[in-house]
Amino acid sequence: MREKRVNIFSTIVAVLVMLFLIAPLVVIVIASFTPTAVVVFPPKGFSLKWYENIFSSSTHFMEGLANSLKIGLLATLLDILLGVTAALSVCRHDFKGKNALLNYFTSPMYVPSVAFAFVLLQVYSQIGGVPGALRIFIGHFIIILPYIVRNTVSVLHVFNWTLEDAATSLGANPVQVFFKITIPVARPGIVAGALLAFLYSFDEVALSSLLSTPKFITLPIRIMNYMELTFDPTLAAISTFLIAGSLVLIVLMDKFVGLDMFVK
Amino acid sequence: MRKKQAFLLALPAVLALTVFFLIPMLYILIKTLVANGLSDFIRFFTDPFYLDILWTTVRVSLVSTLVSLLLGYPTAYYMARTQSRMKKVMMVIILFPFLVSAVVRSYGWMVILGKNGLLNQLLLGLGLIQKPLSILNTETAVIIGMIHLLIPYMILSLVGVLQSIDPNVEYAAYSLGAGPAETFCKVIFPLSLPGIISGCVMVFTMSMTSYVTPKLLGGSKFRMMATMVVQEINVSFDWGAASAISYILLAVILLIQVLVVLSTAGTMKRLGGGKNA
Amino acid sequence: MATLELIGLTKRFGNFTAVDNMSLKADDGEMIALLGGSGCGKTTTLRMIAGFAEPTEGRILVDGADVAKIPPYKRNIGIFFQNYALFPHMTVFENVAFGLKLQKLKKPEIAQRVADILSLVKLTGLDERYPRELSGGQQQRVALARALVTRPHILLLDEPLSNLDAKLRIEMQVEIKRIQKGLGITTIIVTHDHEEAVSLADRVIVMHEGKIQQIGSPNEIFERPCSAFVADFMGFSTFIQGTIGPAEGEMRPVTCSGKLLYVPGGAAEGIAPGSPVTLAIRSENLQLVEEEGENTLSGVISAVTYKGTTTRLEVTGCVAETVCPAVNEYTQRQLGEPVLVHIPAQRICVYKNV
Repeated sequence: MREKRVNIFSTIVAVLVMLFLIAPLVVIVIASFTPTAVVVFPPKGFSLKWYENIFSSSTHFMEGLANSLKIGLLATLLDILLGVTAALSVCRHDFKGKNALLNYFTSPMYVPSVAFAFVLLQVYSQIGGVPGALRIFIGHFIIILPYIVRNTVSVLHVFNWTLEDAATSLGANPVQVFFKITIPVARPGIVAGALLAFLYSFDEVALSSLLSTPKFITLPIRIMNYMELTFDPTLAAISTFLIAGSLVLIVLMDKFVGLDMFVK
Repeated sequence: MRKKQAFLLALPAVLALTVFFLIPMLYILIKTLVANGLSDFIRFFTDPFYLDILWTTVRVSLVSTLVSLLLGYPTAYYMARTQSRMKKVMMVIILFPFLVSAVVRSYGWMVILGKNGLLNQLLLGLGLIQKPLSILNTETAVIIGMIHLLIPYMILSLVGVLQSIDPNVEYAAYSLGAGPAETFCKVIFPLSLPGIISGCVMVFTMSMTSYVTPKLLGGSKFRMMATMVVQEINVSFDWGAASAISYILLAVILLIQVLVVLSTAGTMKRLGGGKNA
Repeated sequence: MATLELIGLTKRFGNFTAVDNMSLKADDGEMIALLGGSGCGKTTTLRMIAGFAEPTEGRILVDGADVAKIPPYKRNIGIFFQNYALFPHMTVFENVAFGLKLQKLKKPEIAQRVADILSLVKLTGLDERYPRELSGGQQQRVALARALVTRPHILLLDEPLSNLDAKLRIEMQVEIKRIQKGLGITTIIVTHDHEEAVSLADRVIVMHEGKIQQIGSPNEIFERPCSAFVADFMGFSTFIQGTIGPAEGEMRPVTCSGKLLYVPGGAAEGIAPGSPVTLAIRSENLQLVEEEGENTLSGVISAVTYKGTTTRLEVTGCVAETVCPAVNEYTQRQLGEPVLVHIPAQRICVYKNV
C-alpha cells in the first residue's frame, strides 16, 4: 500500500479550486433552461425557448458557427501539414541553429494577437480587396501553428528513432517509413496539438474582431454582439451548446489519446 | 542527405511564417517608424491616460498571476500525488474549462457577479448585505474572470513538473531526518521551480494580452492594453496610438521571455500557452 | 547464404576517424564478433554495412557485389537492434510480418512464415500481444524473429544479450547459436562483452579506436591476446612489469621487482634482452601452492571475494603489482595470510612495452 503523500491543506484548496472552476459553467447550464428573461435563482420553471432562439436568423449564431468551423478546420488541417513537417525537421535531425529554428516555428505564440491582427489589418488596407474569410484565415493559421508544433515536438522528443532504422532494414522506403511508423507513433501528440489548435481558432476573439468584415463574422463575435444588444438567456443556451461540445471533445481525446498529453 | 531532408521538411513552415508573419510584422514596423517616427510612442509614455492603462494591465496581470500561483500550487500538488480514483475526474474538471471559450466563461461570471446576479441574490437573500454589490464592470470582476481563465494553465504547468519529481528524493530526505515541511521547502519546492517560473510567465503573458475578459467583465470604462488597441482602431480611428500600444505590448512580452531564457538556460524548453484571454 | 567482405573500410567525421581501414572477410554461414569498448568503431561499422552511414573510403561486398549504391531498404540485411526497436503500435504478428508485407507476399504465405519463425524462437501463441505486454526476453525474441523472417543474406546483431539478466543470457546464447547454425546465415555480432563474443562467434575481431587489434578464433583471443590492451579487454587480471633477459635454453628470465619469472622463449620472440615488458596471466591460471619453486612468488592476501563458482584473491607483497589468483573452491583463506602463488610459464603472455 503506498503511503498517502498529500496533506489536508492541499486537498481543501484543490476542492475549492475545482468548485470555482466549475461554478460559472454550472450556472450557465441551469440558466439556459430558465423561462424568465432575467436569470433568477432558483429558476422559476423550465423552458427550452432560448434554445429555439439560437436557430433564429436574428442571432446569426448558426451562420457564425459555420464560419468558425470552416476557418477552424481549414486552418488546423493546413497547420497539421506545416507543423508536423516542421517538428520533424528539428527533432529527427541535428544541426546548428536547430533551437533557433524551433523558436521561429513557435514565435507567433509570443506576439499578442491584437498586435498581429493590427499589422495584418494595415497590410490588407494597403493591398485592398482581401475577402473577409481569407483575412481571418491567414491570421488564424499563423497563430495556431505553435500549438501543433509544440505538441508534436514533445512526442517526437521521446521518439525512438531506431524504429525508423528497423523499418528501413526490413525494406521500407522513406515514404513508407513515414506513414507506417513515424506518423502512427507520433499520432497522440499530433492529435492533441490539432485539438488545441482548433479550439484556439474556434474561440479566438481579438484577431477576429479586428479583421472580420460585415459579410464574415465568427461565432464568438456574434455572441458578443448579441450580448451588447440583448442580454438574455439565449446566450446561456448557445453557451451550453459550446460547453457540451467541449465535453464531447475531451471525452474523445481521453478515449483516443489520453489526457496526459496536456500535462507537458 | 540528411541535411537536405531537414531543409525540405522545414521549408513549408518557414515559408509560410516568413511570408504571412515575419514580413508583415517587420514591414509595418518599419513603415510606422518611417512615417511617424517615435511620436506615438512618446505620446504613450507622456500621457497619464495611457500610462494608467499600462499600469492597470500590469497590476491586473500581477495579481492574477500571484493568486493563480497561490491557489494553483496546492491544487497541482494534490493532483500530482493523489492516488484517488477521482484523479481522472479532477483532470477533466481542470481541463474542461480550458476547452471552453473565454466568451462563455466570462458570460458565466457576468451572470454570477451582475447587479441582479446569482451572488447578489444569494447574499441579499441570506440577509448578509442590504444593497447589491457592484462587482461586475470593475477591476475585481476582471481579476476574478482572469484567474478563472488562467488557473488551469498554471495547474497543468505545475502538475507536469511535480509529477516528474522522483518520489525517492523525498524518502531520501525523510531518511536523513527532514520533516514534511522541511522536505517541502528544501527539496520539493526548489525542484518545482522551473514549472513555477514557466507557469507564471505563461499566465502573466496571457493576462497582459487578454481581450475578452477585460472587455466583458470590466465594462466600457475599464481599459487594458489589448482592449485599448481595438478601441483605438475601431472607435477612435487613432491608428498611431493603436500602433504604439501594440508594439509596447509586444516589447513587454518579448522582454519577459528574454529575461526568462537568460535566467534559465534550457535546451528544448517548455513553451508557453495560449492567448484567448 | 552470402559472404561479406569489407575492404579498407574507413569512416571519418571531420577530423575524427571512427573506423580506420577495416578489412575482413566473412565466409558463408560464419558468425563473426566485433568486440570492443564504446567508441571503438564497431557500431559505426555495423551501420555502414546496413547502409545507414556512408563509408568515407573502402568497399562493402555482399556475395562479391559492391553494395555502395544500394539504399538501406533494398539491401535485405536483417538487423537486431540493441533496444529491440519493436513497433509499439503493432502486434507481435504485425511486427514480424512487416518486412514480408513490404515484399508483397500473399497473406497465407505471410501467415505461414510468421508462424514458422515464431515457433523457431519459441514464441508461438503470442501473435496478438503488443510489445509493451511482453517481457524483455520475449521482446528480444520478437526482434530476432522479425530480423530473420525476411530471409536476409546477412544478419547483424547489435549487443544482442546486453539487456538480459544472467540466466536469460545463458539461455539466449544457446538459442542464438542454434538458430544461426540451423539457418546457416552469415552473421556479424557487435558487442562490448568478451564473454558474449567468445561464446557465440566462430571468429572474434577485437577493435580499438577504429582499428582491428586482433582477429582470431575465440580460443586464440582468449588465451593468446596479441597485446596488453586486448589482454585487459579479454579479462586478464594480473599484469606484471619487468625487464626481460637473454634466452637460457628454451626459457627467458624476466626480472620483476627484483624477483625472477621465467617465460617460454616462443612467447617473447623478437623482444631484445633488456627491454621493458608486461607479463599478463589469467586469474584461473594462477595456482596456490604449498612449496617454493620456479615461478613461485610469496605474498600476503589483501582481499578475498567469494563469487560462488570461484573465489578471487588479491595478493600483494610479492611484486610491485597486485597478483589476482582465482581459486576453484570455497577457501578458508583469510586476509593477511601468507600464500605462495605459482605462475605456470606456459600461460604467461609477454608484451613489449611501447
